[in-house]
This record gives sequence, structure tokens and C-alpha cells, in this order.
Amino acid sequence: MSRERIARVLPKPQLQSDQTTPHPDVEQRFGTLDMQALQRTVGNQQAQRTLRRMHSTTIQRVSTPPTQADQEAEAAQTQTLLQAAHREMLSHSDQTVRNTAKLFQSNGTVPQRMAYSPMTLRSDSAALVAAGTLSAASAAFFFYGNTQNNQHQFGPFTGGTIDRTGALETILVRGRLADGTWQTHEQIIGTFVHEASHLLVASYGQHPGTTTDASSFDRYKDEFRSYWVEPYGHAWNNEKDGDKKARAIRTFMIANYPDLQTPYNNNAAFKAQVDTHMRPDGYNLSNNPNLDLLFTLIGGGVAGIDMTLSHIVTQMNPTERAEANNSPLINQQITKYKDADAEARVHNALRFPQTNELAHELNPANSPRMSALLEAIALRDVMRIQESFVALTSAERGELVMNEAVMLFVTRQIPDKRLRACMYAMLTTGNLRQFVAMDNFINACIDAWVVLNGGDEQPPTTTPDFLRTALKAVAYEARLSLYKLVEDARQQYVDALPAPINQRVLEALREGNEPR
Amino acid sequence: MSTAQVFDGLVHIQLPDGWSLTALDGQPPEQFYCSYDLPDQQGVFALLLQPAPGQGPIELLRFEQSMQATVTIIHQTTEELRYRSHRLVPSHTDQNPSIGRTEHREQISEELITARFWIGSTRTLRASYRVVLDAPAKLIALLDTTIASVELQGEL
Repeated sequence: MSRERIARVLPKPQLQSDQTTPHPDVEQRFGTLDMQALQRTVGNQQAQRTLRRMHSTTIQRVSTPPTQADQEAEAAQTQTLLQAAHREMLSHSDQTVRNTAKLFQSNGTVPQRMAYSPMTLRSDSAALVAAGTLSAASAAFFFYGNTQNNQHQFGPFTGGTIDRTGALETILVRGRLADGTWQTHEQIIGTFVHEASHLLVASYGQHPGTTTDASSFDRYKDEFRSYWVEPYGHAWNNEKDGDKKARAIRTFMIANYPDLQTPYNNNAAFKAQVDTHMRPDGYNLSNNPNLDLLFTLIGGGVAGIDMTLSHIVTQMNPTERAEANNSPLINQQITKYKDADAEARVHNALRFPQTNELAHELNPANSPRMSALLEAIALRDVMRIQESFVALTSAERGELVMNEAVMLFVTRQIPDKRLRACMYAMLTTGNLRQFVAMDNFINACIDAWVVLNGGDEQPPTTTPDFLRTALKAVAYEARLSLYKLVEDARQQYVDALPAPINQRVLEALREGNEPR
Repeated sequence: MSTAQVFDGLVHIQLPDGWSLTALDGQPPEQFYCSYDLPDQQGVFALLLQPAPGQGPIELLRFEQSMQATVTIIHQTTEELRYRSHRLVPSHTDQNPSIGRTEHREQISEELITARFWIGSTRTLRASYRVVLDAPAKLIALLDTTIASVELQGEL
């Protein structure tokens, strides 16, 4: 049977020989929009052939379907296109675009967050449409990745989807669209930013109604947010006036999302919600991988607090810390620790420093050795603190002596007064031995308190020798730091000694002399 | 109703007024498929002519399985199959040149499928329809009548 004979599928009364006047049925069935849709579905040549069938019994010989090799080559070309767009994103002028690009790759301690992959029309799509009693106007079959070894049914105009079956959520993008044109870099970048925003906000549990009710206000907010951050493809992309931008997005969505159009036109309460939603909401509007990982790490509970603190101190910049610190979602997440100390440590880490100026003061030369020390301090890991301090250059240790930002950092990060006193002793002298000397002195204070309170001599008149010896090993700068900078430690360990011993030791701290 | 001659006159079928069958290109060699899209996106009516053995009820159910659909069989013989298909359509985007990208949330597709098979020595014919589950009973009756009107004018 020749393919020309297919023309006979039309009922004879509808066949016409006049090729200039469309049969009324053509207008009725296809109309202008439907004809465009058909063209996009099956290509212009096919659409023209279909029209010809409607007009005439003279039919052109049809083309053969593409081969699997053809379509796998198209997938490879799409992969190349996606990679090129990704590279462009990494050096893009827009911060959100750069952030989104980083989500697709690991970066130091920040793991890859999501992936992308081609989505391509299967070579046997038309045969599968036939197998399923489907319409080419509403169904087409695609494969994901580079090999045609899987099949997924969508509409013929589908531009992409999300695959959640793998280890990473994968944004699937069709490089070549239904009309045969290839997507531009800008279109792909827009898709990546838009879809990444959806994936991230969903992972935070925000806008939950968007997955259960396509007509919900959550859905509206979810789409609004993604369109807001998307850099290309819409008239509002360069609109500086936020209110105008919000109204433009609203107009577009109500016109093109039937799920939202219906409640907007029929539900006054829904309309009021939509009309007053003028800015995007939710955590991490900039698709920032550091903010994203922070949410995950906090969600890991107290057991993972060291990783959380390390991430905050070493990876996040002041702007990111400030955004996280001001986020109701992050604050809510922190309360899930149900551990006051853990909550305080994360809050402290997020609150300091919150400006680039302070961050610069904390580590003026951006030294990796200094970063390691700050991380160890945040983790309150004594061994790492000592090791990283020793690893500093002598110049860096010298700068630390006068670095008020670091002192403040220590105060914020280390609530344990004894450890903090030791830290100050080390930092103000630039000498690790003073850490040990202060620790020994505090031990001696505790022992002295026991001895003096339990002795027969009331009040005591003699300062124990072991206390004198311990104090003698503490340098003057370290003594002063205990006296003035770690007052809570001084009060607990020195002020609490029985009088007049406490006054003698305080004087020795203040004046640097031998205690009487 | 009017009589349509399909597949070079091999098949005569009574089509309701206003219906017309359109061929779909891109089929494997010696396979022919033509269909009519029902109004208001209610579904599709189709004829499929394939080299034997072609698709039978079991192969059609396998197809549904390959689409991760859940199937409820209502009626099945070697020549007829009627079932409901329940399938999750993942969220996806559409690329419309005139308006750009729009998004569609995950949704459930529920459809009623009826197929009748004529299995010959060299070719297999299938007349079938797929409609949304809430399609009017009147439409389903019309589709059943249309399938019943198929007359073979020669050997398969």
C-alpha cells in the first residue's frame, strides 16, 4: 500500500479539488491557532501535507521518520548547548544566574545540588502515538539523557520537565523545540533559573499547596517567584519599578494559566490575594548554593552542628549570613535543634560579622590559615584551635594581638568562660603557651578555692604557693585580658576566692606584679 | 453519518457528521494510522493498520504498562479490550512561540480506552478510542457505534 493512498481516509464528500478555497471543515477543525499548533507539532511540511489532503487527492510522498541515531545526535547537540549555556552562566553579570550555575556543580565543601540533561523527541514518537490511540496534537514521546532507551509521554510542545528519580533532581530541557527551532542560550538560562527556583523553594517546604492544588495561591506565589527571578524572555525582565514588574507578571499568569485564571475571575478572596502579592517571597530568592546548603545542614540536627558552623564561618559571606539570619524559615529551622547551646552557636555564627567591612577586619589578608583558626573557634575544637594558631605566620599572630574583630568573634562564639579566657591569653600574647598557662592558672584558682575555704585559717592570710607559681607563668597581657576582657571568668575563678586573697590576685592581674 | 473509505478502500466505516480522519506520518513501514480528535479535548478516535501480528489486547496493555499507567480492565477477549487507564503526568513546561514558557503542575490522567482488533494473516486492523473518564455516555455510545460500523472490504 502506498502512502499516497492514505488520502482516502477522508470521507469522500469532504474531498475537494479546489486548492485555493479551504474546505469549511478545515476552518472548523484547525482554525488559525490549531493550525499553528499542528505546525509546531509535526512541522510545517507535515501541516501543509495535511492541509493538502483536505483540499485535494494529490498528495506528496511523505518523509520517513527520523532514525534513533538522528535523535541521539540531537540529544548530544542539546547536551552541548546546555553545557555552553552553563559556562556562560558562571561568568554572568547577574548574581542569581551565577548562583544558579553553581547549583549544577560541586564547589569545595558545597556539593552539587541539581543536574541538567537533554530531553529529546523519540524517533518512534509517531508510532507510539498510534500504539496508544493518541492524538499527535496532544501527545508525543521523548527520551531523557543521551540514549533513546527510555520513553516519557508529554504534549508535543513540551519544553522540559524535572526528573526526580535519580540521586539529584535533574532539569530536563528540550534543545530543539516542536517547531524545529533550537533554544537560545538566553532561553536555556531562563529555564535553569526559573526551574531551580521552583526546586529550591519546594525543598524548603514553602508554598506547599503548589504541588497539591494547581489553582492555589501557593501555586501563584511559586510561579510569581520563579518569573520574578528569571532574567530573560519576558517584557518585565528589565523593569526597574517593582510594582510595575509585579503587575506585568500577574497579567501574564492570569492570561496564560487557566488553573489560576478561573479562580481569579470567580473567587474574590483569591483575586484579592493575587492583587496584593507584589513581591516574591520565600527563602533564598537568589538560588544561592550557600544558603541552600545551610538549610540542609541545620536540618541535619545537633549531630551535624560542626558542619553547619564550619559552613557558616568558612563559606558564607556577610551578605549571605545576614539573609539567613533574617529568614523566618532559618530561625524556625534552628529551633528544631531543641538545644539551647546549639541554637545559640548557630545564631551567633550567623550574626557575626554581617558586613563585608567586619569580615575584612576579621581576616584582612583573606588568609586560609586565619580562616582555619576562625573555623576552629566556631567549632570550639581546642585541638584544632591550637593547631591552627601554630600554623599562623608570626606576622599573622602579631596582627591578631590588636584585632578587635577577632576578639569580638571569640566572645560571640565561645560561651565557655574558661576556654574563652585561655583563648584571650593566647591571642593577646601571640603565644600558644599562654593558652596552657591560663588553663593552669584557672586550675590553681579552683584548687585554691577548695583549700582556702576548707582550711582552719579564717580568714586566710597566705596565698598558696601553687597559685603564685601558676600566676607567675601568665604573661602580663594575658593577665590583663582576664581582668578586663573575660570578666565573667575572672568573677568565677578569681573574685570568688576568699578575701583578702582574691584582692591580692586581682591586683597582680591588674598590675602585673607578684601576688602578696 | 457518512461512509468513509479508509486504507485504500479496505475499510468502510460510518463516521458521524463532522468527523474526519487525518493520517499521521512517521509510522513504521506498512503501518498506517489515522485519527479524529474529539471536540473539547475529550479524546481521540483512531484506526490502525499494521503488518501481522501487530498489536492485540495484550500488546496494548503492555503499552500502558510501559507508560507506568495503572489499568483496570472492564472487558477483554482476544478481539476486544475495554479498560480504564490511570497515569501520573509529571509537571512540565510548554514552549509556545507566541507566549513563551508556561508551566503545568503534576496531574492525573484518567481515561477510558476501547479497542477492537481484526487479526488477519498478513495484517491487523484496530479500531479504537481513548476518552477522558468523565466523557458523556452519549459520546461513548456514539464511539462504540462507530467501531461497530467497521466493515472489512477484503482480506487482511
